[in-house]
Amino acid sequence: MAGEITPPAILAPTDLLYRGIHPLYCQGGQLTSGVFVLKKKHTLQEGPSVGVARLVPLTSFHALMGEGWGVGALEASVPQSLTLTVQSLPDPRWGEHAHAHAVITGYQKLTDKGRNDVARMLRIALQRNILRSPAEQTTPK
Amino acid sequence: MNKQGSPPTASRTDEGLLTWGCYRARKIASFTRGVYDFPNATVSISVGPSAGWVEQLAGITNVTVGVASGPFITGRIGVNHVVTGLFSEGAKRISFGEAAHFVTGFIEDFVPSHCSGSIIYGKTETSSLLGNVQQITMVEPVGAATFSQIAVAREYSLSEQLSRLHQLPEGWDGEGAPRFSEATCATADTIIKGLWHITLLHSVSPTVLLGPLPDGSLRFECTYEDKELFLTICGTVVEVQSWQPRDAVESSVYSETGPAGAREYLEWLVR
Repeated sequence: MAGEITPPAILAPTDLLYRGIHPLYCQGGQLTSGVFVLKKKHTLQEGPSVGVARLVPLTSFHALMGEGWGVGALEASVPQSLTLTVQSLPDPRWGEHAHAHAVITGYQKLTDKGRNDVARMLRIALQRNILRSPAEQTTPK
Repeated sequence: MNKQGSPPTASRTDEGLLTWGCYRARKIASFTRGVYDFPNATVSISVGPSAGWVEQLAGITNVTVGVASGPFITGRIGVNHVVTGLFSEGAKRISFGEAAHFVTGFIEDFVPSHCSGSIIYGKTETSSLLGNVQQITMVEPVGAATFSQIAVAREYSLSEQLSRLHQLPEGWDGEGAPRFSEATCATADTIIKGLWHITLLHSVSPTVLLGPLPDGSLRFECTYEDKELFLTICGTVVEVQSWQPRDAVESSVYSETGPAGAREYLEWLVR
């Protein structure tokens, strides 16, 4: 049942994180920068959402994403190695998997250049492990 | 999905197939995808059972890329063809000037020390033909006409993508992303034309993706050899960021310029 597991506020480096991939951020299997956008003004809640794999099955996570979205995965150690933090942030919109929700944060302190650098590395890491390909979609419906 | 095990790196398999690079995860695809034989013809390639490992390989081959008949792959891609929709798992693309010979349908990354391409899992008897891919590509240079074709195709493709992005409604990302402004799209169009000129001028073909960002800006993501260049367009301003080598974490350049200034960085990319 939801609420039985209380994840730590800061996740372990070995935690696998799922990240939704909007179809427009993938061209022919290649992820583009939009998959991780980091802004200085982002609040904690506005940081890139991820799902903690040990707390939400892949299928359930995928179902939480929009139609046509894909799913990639990366270890928490990736953002952590880039001086970022992966912080648990339960999201009621995720229902029984609310506690699987986490956000990447800590980039607000970086320069514009630095934020782009780490966003690119996150995208590269995600590219290496795409679990569900997004629907090919480059035109508006 | 459909993983059939992850055998260790090997130079030869039980099936007598010679491999180049690391054979990390054997997957077989069930996939049919058009291979676009420039400029208009389409050649279908069918790949046997399973899916999920297919990624687009975009680029040009200047030697024959043969897809041998077999249980998994049938079809053939000819010489000097623009190739999209080839089949790969870890491999990403065949860059211009590289080549590949698909023989069994098992496709994997090269170890960097072997060559800079992707792919390849060949039958023993084809190894002498394939040899060093770089060597093969050097003896069959692609002419200016092909580069012209590439440039035209690239411009058309990017312009089409820009047009599609321009039509996106507000909230296209499901979270209130704004539409792309006229000024942003006009600047992007200027960049596309600059790419066209540079492709012709230098006879090179950098890989370019044009992607949207949720803040209403557009980003060209360009790679060539060991360089990567981001041109982020917001109105008439172009934010430039570049990395060399491509696996560098920290960018070497970060600045703002205009469309004319962006061209200088595109020149840098292909030099």
